[in-house]
Amino acid sequence: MKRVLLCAIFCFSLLAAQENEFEKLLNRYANHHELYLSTKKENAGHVIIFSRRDIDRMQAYILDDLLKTVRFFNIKVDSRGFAVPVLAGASNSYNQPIRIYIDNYQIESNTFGSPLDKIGKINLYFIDHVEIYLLGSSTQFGGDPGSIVIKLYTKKPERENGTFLQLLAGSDHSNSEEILFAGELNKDYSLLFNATRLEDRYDTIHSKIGPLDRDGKRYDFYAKLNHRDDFEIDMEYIHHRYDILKSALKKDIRLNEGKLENLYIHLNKRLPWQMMIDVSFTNEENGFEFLTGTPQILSNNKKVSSLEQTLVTEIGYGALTKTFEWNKAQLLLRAEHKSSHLRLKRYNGDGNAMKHISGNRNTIRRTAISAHFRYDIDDSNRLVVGLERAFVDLDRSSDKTLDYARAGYITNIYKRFDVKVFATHKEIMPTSKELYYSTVIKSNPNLKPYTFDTYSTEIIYNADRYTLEFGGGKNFVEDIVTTPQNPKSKPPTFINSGRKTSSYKSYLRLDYFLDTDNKWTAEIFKTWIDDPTSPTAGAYLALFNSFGQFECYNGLVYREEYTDRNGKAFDASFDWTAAITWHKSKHLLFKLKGENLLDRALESYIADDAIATPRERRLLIGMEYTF
Amino acid sequence: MKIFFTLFFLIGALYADIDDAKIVKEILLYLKFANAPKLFTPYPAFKSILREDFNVTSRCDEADLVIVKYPEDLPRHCPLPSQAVFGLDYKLLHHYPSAFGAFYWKKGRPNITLIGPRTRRLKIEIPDALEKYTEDRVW
Repeated sequence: MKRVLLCAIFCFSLLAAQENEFEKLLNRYANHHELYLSTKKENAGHVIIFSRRDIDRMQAYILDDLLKTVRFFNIKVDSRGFAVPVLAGASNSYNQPIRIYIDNYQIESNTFGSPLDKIGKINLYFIDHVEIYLLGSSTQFGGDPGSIVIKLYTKKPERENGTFLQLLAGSDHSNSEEILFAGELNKDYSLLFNATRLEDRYDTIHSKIGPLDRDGKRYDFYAKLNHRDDFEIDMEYIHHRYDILKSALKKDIRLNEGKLENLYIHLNKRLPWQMMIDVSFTNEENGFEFLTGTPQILSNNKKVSSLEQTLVTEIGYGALTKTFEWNKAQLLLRAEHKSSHLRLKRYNGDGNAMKHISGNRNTIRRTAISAHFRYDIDDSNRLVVGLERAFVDLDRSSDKTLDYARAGYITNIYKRFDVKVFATHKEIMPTSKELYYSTVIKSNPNLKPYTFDTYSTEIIYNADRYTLEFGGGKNFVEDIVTTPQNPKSKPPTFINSGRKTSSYKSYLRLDYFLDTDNKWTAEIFKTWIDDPTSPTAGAYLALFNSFGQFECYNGLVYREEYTDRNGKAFDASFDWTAAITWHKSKHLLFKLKGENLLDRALESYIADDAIATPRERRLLIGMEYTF
Repeated sequence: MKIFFTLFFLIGALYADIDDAKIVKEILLYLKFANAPKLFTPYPAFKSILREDFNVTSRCDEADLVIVKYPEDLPRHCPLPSQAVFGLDYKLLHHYPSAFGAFYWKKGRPNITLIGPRTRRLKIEIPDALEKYTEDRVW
């Protein structure tokens, strides 16, 4: 196997070496002008970048295609049937302060609790590159403090210049059609527009409680109008219908469907004196209806067989940012305000309107001021400090002050070694779902903010042909919001844990560049955490190759065996993805992708006798036409 | 093998900071013109780079070859399309019948297109290294 692999790498290298000098120059130019080079924040540390070329070669269609390869992440199926990224060792996505941005807009989701849970899988067709800051800083990016910040940068119309049509069909009968227009309307204005229709199919899982489905249909429209060096207006509308897995508890089921409608509009305006304003409005409506054979206890203590529920989130956000630049220093000041309102539009049990019992804390207003300071002591040493104070008002009944502080020191030794050291303290507000309303877990209006403290180090060795990274850190979490392991009452209630827990993380990564077209990556990581309920260790091996008209990707994601929250054990997983793209002509390319090829992706229990993986083994075939 | 590595790094160092103007200059250096062309471009960044190897004029009407991205960037008196045009946007190949090639971004990647019949008409010879970028017509 090893020999075959080495031979394959060698052959690809030889093929690539046949390019003439001009092509090499053009490739270098393209690499040198990758957009991530102008957006990545080196001083944020612990950053993983998926460049445009990486995403194209991986044939990553949704964000999960990338996240499953990222260290300290596991993609698990939860009881609703959603494939959700959870941190290594964690059982679900609650309490994971992960923030996702499309350019400067922060994706919001009160109705799901975490934006990662949003089933309208984040579409990458209009995305140029993705940056994942594993130790993200809210003072740099704005919005709520996050341990992990995922930044998605949209394609630049002036670099796309065309209309593109992509068609995909899967062996599991999934299919999608996407159309993208991107180009300059005139010298000053440019437009990016994307429309997607996706039909997502999975095998029906047969269990004792009946057939379980998790299919879905999604329509997604994104548009962005840009006026050169002046303003940008972007908006997205998502309409998603999906089956709710666990609600399919009876064969004579009438309806087990969920519906998500999400709309946001965002304005970014550049002002004189290096000032910038961001204004956005988000509206999300998430409803579902189901009928079960076994009555369930809801968070309002009612036992019902049928439930109709629609949750609505309305979020308004505004921020003013001012940047000061000096010879050796930069200071970024930001003032922002966010008002987040969650309400139950429809709440019927067994056909009757019900009341929920969690009080009235459904509006959270957050006003924050922050400063991010960078000082270059000399050519090799840099200091970074971020400070934020947020004032949180819960329905004008209770005020809280949340502080955030982050300090970092970055040094370069012998021109080859980069050493980065960071210390972060953050206080995080519980979500609306935890404070106001959740379907089966009782929310708690008296929850207190919890704290995260992180100390981490990263050492990077930059050789001519490879980069070797080693990093590690320790996290302390105090008073995190959780549910009791063995609740005395049903339904269980969200509570502050009342204790301080710690975990350690470590990783080693090697990126080896054979030439501008061919590279490979190898990575291992390990998390040490008490009572883990998902894999704590894993590895990733990837090969990116280009030869002639073909581009290839092979990625193997390994996660170790684990025992879940209910004591059920699972074997180690090996999720192999292979993709090949054939650039037949300037206008036409064909795509072939195999997912979960070994049929051993990460498993989790979704019912007593039913196991699911985030994606069953399948082949995807597709084409893209450039008009 | 060491020679390969050395060459690799030398080329890397040489083009560590490659901008559009350098690429266009490389393309023009590869092309074989019947007579050394006099160039005009309205963009200062291009002028300074092209001056290293070409005769660059500040008068559009004196030039044999014009390098431009937006037609409105050209002086009003410029007598296009009598001169050869190298575009920084594919659309210019439609716009000017004398546009023989373009360097532009498409689908997130830099692209080069040379139109064979037009280069022949303008007596510009395309070397083997650029042959793969040659097309018979404008799409």
